[in-house]
Amino acid sequence: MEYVCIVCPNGCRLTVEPTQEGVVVKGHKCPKGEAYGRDEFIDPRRVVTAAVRTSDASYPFAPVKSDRPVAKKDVDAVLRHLYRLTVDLPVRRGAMCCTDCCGTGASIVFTRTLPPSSGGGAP
Amino acid sequence: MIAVKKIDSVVIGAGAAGMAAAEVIAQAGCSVALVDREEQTGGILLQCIHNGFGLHHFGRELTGPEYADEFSERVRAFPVEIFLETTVVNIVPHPGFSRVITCSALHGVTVFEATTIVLAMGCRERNRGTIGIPGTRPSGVFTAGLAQRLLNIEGYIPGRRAVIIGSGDIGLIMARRLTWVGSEVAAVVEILPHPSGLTRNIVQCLQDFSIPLLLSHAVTQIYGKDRVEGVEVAPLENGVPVAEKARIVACDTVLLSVGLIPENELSCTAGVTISPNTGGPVVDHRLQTSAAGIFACGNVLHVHDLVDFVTEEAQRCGGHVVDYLRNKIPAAASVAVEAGANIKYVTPNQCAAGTAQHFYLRPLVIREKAKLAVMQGQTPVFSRNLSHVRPAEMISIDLDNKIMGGLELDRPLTFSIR
Ligand SMILES: Cc1cc2nc3c(=O)[nH]c(=O)nc-3n(C[C@H](O)[C@H](O)[C@H](O)COP(=O)(O)OP(=O)(O)OC[C@H]3O[C@@H](n4cnc5c(N)ncnc54)[C@H](O)[C@@H]3O)c2cc1C
Ligand code: SF4
Repeated sequence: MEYVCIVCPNGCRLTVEPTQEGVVVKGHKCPKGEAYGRDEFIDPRRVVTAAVRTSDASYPFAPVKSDRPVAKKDVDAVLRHLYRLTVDLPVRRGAMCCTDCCGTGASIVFTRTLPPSSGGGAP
Repeated sequence: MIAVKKIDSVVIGAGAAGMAAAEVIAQAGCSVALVDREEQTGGILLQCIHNGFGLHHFGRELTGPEYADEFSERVRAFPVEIFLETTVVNIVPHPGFSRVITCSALHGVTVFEATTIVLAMGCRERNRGTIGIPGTRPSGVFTAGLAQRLLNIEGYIPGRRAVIIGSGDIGLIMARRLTWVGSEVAAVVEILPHPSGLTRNIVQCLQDFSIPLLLSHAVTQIYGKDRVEGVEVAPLENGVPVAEKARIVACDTVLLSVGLIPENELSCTAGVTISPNTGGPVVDHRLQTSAAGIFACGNVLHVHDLVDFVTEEAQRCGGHVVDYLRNKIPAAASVAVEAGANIKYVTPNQCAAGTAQHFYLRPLVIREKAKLAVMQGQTPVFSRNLSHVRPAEMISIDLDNKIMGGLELDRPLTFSIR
């Protein structure tokens, strides 16, 4: 199989073949690419980013991400779950939004610090 | 009475560029004001909630808001005076200083008398006017960046079925984002025979969702009375749309991702010379514009694809401002810098013989295995083999003191790709 590595902007072209010694990756310029190629072949994963609703009118949405890549087939379930949430401010960058989201093993964390309710001002 | 503040430096724009420059200037003990018309520091990064930032600078992958937050915290750790919701409306150069006129709903008009200015206003998107698509003027036509802001900051879904014009990275990122909020992306239409965005974004934003990428195609009409109802898409043959092969794609939304232009209206009020190649100010080896004491960095200087390079450039710019303020500017003999074969532009526009210099260049071509050659006339100065070149990927190179020391004075330094 041929893939383009998406781990960094280099976009190396990978060839991945199952052999008797296991899955062999070629074309990567670094070990991250090798790991990506193997995962992409066996169990493709993506980091999920989204914005969840807040109860505050001045910052109506807070950005979040999964703390590790989520199996591609589970991405929709994770997103659907996140769109149902409403969180209260303040939130801190790096703080937990949702632990082990939908049983994927990945947790969802906030990616921006937002100040306590209304009144403006900088975070 | 209008308040007048005397200050060493005013940094205009608190995006990645402005924050990094202000931090360096403050760290050196100079007085600095950081001014932005938005309510928060961070600039365009705040709306880029996807990941893919900071691999070079932090060595890990961050989202835009995380990258912005890290720098917002850093800049606040120094005595930088931050003026938010404050727009710079004019710059008036005088010998030895400039007046920077700002306006805010909160503080009214404030005038800075600044020894130096850092232009860090970022860029703006090309819009429908700039590319001239015929048809009606219904609602539902957005630039990709505006749609990104509406969706990611305000939570407003721009439409249910979109066609994206142009395959720039912002459009690709928005294709995935729209799909992830349950909208459909009917197609991405690109006039060129190759995508303008990074390959990784073609893979993770289009191929992951089987979104068609129509290369060498143009949108030739936009239909709809009050709201967009569809677009006409035609393949190009020899650069001309073939009307007989045109078809109509139904959609309620059109996103334009057709390029970015440095935001230089303000620079022009200051009388700064603009380069036709970059769309940003012409700068010397210290990133100083044609106006003494006025410097530029980030997307206002030339459009960068990676924020990490914006940060690097802005930190260097901050250092040059500090040198200028301390009168530590050696009168260096300058050498003109020129873009040669297959290069769109090189910054800076001048370098100094004997002084190590960092250059950024934007290729015009797609090549596997290419050679970057730096020459003075017929004399080779430097060369490097590159595994690939793409217009979507800026090339960054350092030439050291030794190489720069060997330059002749009256011949331009030419960069080309073979
Ligand atoms: C939509 C988009 C997506 C991107 N995606 C990626 C990515 O995935 N990975 C990556 O590494 N890079 C990405 N980039 C590139 C990178 O993020 C930007 O190049 C970088 O953040 C630009 O920083 P800047 O400070 O030059 O400009 P900006 O962040 O645009 O900051 C300019 C600031 O100046 C202010 N300003 C302008 N005029 C005035 C005025 N007259 N008075 C007061 N304030 C003013 C604006 O309000 C703004 O806050 C993306 C860029 C864009 C536009
Ligand atoms: S293999 Fe390594 S260098 Fe190549 S794209 Fe992947 S992460 Fe980047």
